[in-house]
Amino acid sequence: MAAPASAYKDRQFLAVIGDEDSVTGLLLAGIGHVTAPPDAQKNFLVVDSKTDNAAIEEAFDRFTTERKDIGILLINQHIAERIRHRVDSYTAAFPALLEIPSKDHPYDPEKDSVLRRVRRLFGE
Amino acid sequence: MATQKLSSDIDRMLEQYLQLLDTYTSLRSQLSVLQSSIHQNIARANFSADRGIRYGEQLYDARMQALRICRIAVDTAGVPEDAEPAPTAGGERMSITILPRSDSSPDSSPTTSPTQTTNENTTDTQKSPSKEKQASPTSETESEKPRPRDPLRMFGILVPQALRTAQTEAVKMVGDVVPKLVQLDLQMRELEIEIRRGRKRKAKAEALEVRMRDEGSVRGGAAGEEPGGMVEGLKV
Repeated sequence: MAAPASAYKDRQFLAVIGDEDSVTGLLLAGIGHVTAPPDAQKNFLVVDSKTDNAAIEEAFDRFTTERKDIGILLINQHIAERIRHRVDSYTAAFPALLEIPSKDHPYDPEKDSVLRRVRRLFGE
Repeated sequence: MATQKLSSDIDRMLEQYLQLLDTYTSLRSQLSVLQSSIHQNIARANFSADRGIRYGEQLYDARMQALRICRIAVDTAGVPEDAEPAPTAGGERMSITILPRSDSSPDSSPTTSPTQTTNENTTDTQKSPSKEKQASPTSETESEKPRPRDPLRMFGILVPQALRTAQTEAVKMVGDVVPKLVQLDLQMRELEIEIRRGRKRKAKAEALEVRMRDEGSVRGGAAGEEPGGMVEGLKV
């Protein structure tokens, strides 16, 4: 938290890793961004049952480590569960990570990383 | 006395933490409600769509530009934003806001209600030639840069009402609930660190008090034993 404000200044985009409907909803809100060619990097990844965990991990690394323009990463809770070890070991303040519910997988407080931290704090 | 003060400090922080947790859980439920509403509306739009059309990945615009961006600022108590943040964790607070992009034209903003957007669409088409005339001589370089446009347009001009409703809900979620949740998460993290530090300090202070009490009793005991010992020695 000690980094100056200028360190976060360029982190202006939101990224999302989610199922098709979650991504569609967020793109409707206007967060979708594709960088200029030849890179044409998207700030979203649509995950379905065929997407393997390596691809999700790669996208997670890209959004959290490689790209310096992402301020918030939204990820479906059930997808975060697939790469839980990566999500739990991620401790940086920015990009901030937020797990969101999806259509087929409603929000589960047991899996929420914030509530798990709360339980740890209270010694459970 | 020191341990009492530390305990009250920890209690105060825990109280604050629980308040944040309460806000977090209520925002979480808001997020769930909004998300389910968005999913419901998208499903409704897909149901009413023409055969073979699905409002999803296939129709995404490959050159889309973000309409909403997040701003991260450090709010230090009474310190200007450009200044180096205060070293204490309690003094600074990150503020996160998600706002419409300043260079995005107001007609493409999705914040307007569905009725407004339809009205604007009609006026937009009427006004567009004159606008182009005004813009073309001054900004040729700007025209090369892809301008952000209403994300609804990537799904066509005549999109179902349900998709517009989904967009309104999504805007509310992204602009209101998500930044608050992220900010709360950061505040809770900071407080957790402070609470743990406070607990450590309290444990050290308690250990010190116990040691001092033990030393005091040993000294007192030794002082009490000495005369007896001498008396015993004299007796012998």
